[in-house]
Amino acid sequence: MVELKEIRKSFGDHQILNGVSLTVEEGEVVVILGPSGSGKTTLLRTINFLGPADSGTVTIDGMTVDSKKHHHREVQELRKKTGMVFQNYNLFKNKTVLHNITEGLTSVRKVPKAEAEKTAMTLLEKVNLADRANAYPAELSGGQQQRVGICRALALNPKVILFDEPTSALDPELVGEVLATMRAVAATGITMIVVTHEISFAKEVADKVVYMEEGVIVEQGTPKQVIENPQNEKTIRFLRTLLNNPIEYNI
Amino acid sequence: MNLNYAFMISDIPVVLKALPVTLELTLVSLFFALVIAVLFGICILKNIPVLKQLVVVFNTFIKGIPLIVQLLFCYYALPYILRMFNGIAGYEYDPRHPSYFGFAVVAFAFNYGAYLTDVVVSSYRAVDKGQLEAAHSVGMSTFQGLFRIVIPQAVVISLPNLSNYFMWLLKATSLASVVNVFELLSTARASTAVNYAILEGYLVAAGIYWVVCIIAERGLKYLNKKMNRYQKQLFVA
Amino acid sequence: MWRGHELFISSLPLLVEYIPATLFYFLVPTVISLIFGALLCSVRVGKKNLLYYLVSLFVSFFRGTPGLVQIYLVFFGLPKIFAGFGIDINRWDAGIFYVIATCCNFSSFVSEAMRGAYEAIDKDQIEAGYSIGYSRWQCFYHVIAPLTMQIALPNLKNLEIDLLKGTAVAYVIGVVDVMGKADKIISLHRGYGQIWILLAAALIYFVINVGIELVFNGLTRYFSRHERGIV
Repeated sequence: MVELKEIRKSFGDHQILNGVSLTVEEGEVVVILGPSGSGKTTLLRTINFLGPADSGTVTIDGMTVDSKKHHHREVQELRKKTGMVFQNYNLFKNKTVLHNITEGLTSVRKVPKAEAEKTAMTLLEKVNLADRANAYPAELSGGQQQRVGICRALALNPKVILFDEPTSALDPELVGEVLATMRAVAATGITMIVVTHEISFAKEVADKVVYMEEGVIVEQGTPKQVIENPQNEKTIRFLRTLLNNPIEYNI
Repeated sequence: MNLNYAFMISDIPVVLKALPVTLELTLVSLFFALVIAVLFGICILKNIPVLKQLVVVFNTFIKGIPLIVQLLFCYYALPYILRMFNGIAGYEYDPRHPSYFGFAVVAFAFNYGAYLTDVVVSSYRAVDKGQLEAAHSVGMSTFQGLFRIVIPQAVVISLPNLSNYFMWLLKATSLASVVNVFELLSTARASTAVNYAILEGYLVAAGIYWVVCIIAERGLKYLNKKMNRYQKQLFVA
Repeated sequence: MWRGHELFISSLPLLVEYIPATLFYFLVPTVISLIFGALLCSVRVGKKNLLYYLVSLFVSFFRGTPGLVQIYLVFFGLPKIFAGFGIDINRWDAGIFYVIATCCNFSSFVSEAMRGAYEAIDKDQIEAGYSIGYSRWQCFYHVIAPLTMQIALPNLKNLEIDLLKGTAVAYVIGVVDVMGKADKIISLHRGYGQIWILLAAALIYFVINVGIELVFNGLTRYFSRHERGIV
């Protein structure tokens, strides 16, 4: 379904991605773990060309685009196969909740307005936000905004949804509702690529866990293999720091 | 203080008749200033070589010299320039009826265009970069994303600044009285010449400006509030 | 139009002589208005008593009418008021009328800039001040005043530049500064080379403005020195 080949990207002298290759099967939920600065978000953004790679190819649903030479029409076609959920929600601030979801349908897919709104309302009902359809994003809590963000991505019926740290901007008590929504999305069988720090989500929901560090994939496999029984030194160290804070202070 | 109150009251309608000229001068100048600002703003935002530098130097110079000097400059220089175009493309320069109104518009438009360029640039940049990315993520082209998402937001962001410049411009048009435009202030002055009630005339003019400014300010405040409805924050206790 | 460029060279030194006059009409209102504006501001952020409404009316009038109209009002109105007390001030220099009108105008704008800044400062900072035992005066001196200045500075800079450029209008009531002199030279050379004389004046105003800009950049650096991050 999704295939990345030899993705390389650097900012100035700094190599962010050092030839990453990754295959995602149809219906698979892939969780990418890694410390900050490991390039996991950058990798995600090369998939839909929001931050194109310097070299390497991206294949989604049989369509291959070369990062080195891509035409913007190609990129737009590729993007139509993907949906994205952002860390900071990135809802259109000047559109209501309902129009955030219908915008892509009406202006890109040319779906009639009434039909688009019906689709949007069905999705909103599923995430318990139907009563906020006419609110503006600024009137919603972070968790609610992110659920709308997920609806917006789902509405376009993409082949794959990319989640870029969808819970890391949220207050702790709001993380649960978003993860619950993501679980429900995973249950529908859609292909998902998720960058997150939520180990428990990876354990429960992921079909495949990928551990990245310094721009390369260090280890990948089932959650059991990577999280419960990691082989690589780096993975072990990362999981240890994530699970218990090793530094103690004396004041 | 002994003022000729009867004259002041009778003078109000006379001066009010010139209010449309002041408003027209304001709005026409603002329109052209906006056109200039958008064009200049594109040069800066798109980082067009040479043009960008020219715009920056030109605007810096415009902002560094008094408006009255620019008005006088246009007043003296534009007739010469128009004369050069005499006979070209059927244009006929008429030295007996110079368009003082037009000269003033040119000066105001370039002066305020320089300030509005900053507004255009900063408002565009103030829109969260994630908004265009989100537009791309739902499959919109850059053009669609700009016109459906980014620019509407930039317009709302620019409104408070635009309102301020509108108020400044409204008051600044009184300077056009120095360069032979028959707007509110020069009409007030002319209306008093007969009976030497100069102070009374200026008081009437001041009163009208004051009222118009208060109304305009209220109106713009209301407009800002209405346009800004999507920015009101949820008060999370 | 292209004749007369020699006027640019010949009028420049004549205009330069009047830079001190222009600076006078810029600096005197600046000093008076900063003090008077701060006073107006302190009334505007205080209790809503009679004084508050009077000051609000004053500020509204001087912000809501063109500076040019205010200059005319003071120029023609003040002698009438004084005449009511039997004092003849018609012989006063036009510059005095300009300074009075400009002070009223400029302090109104300054007071609003300060009020906006005062309302924008982080009130937690004031609480932090009281929490370590500052008196009201200490809190004003160590916390409120410097923070207000820092926030108001960009606005004040723009206002100061407008003030300087505004001095060019004073010539309409006969004040002789750079623009006043330029106007005199223009009327000496009727219909000839006006734009070159204006360009000379423009150049002088531009240079003074650059000077003001530099001063304010220095001040901004000083007042925001705590915001320099770790580089």
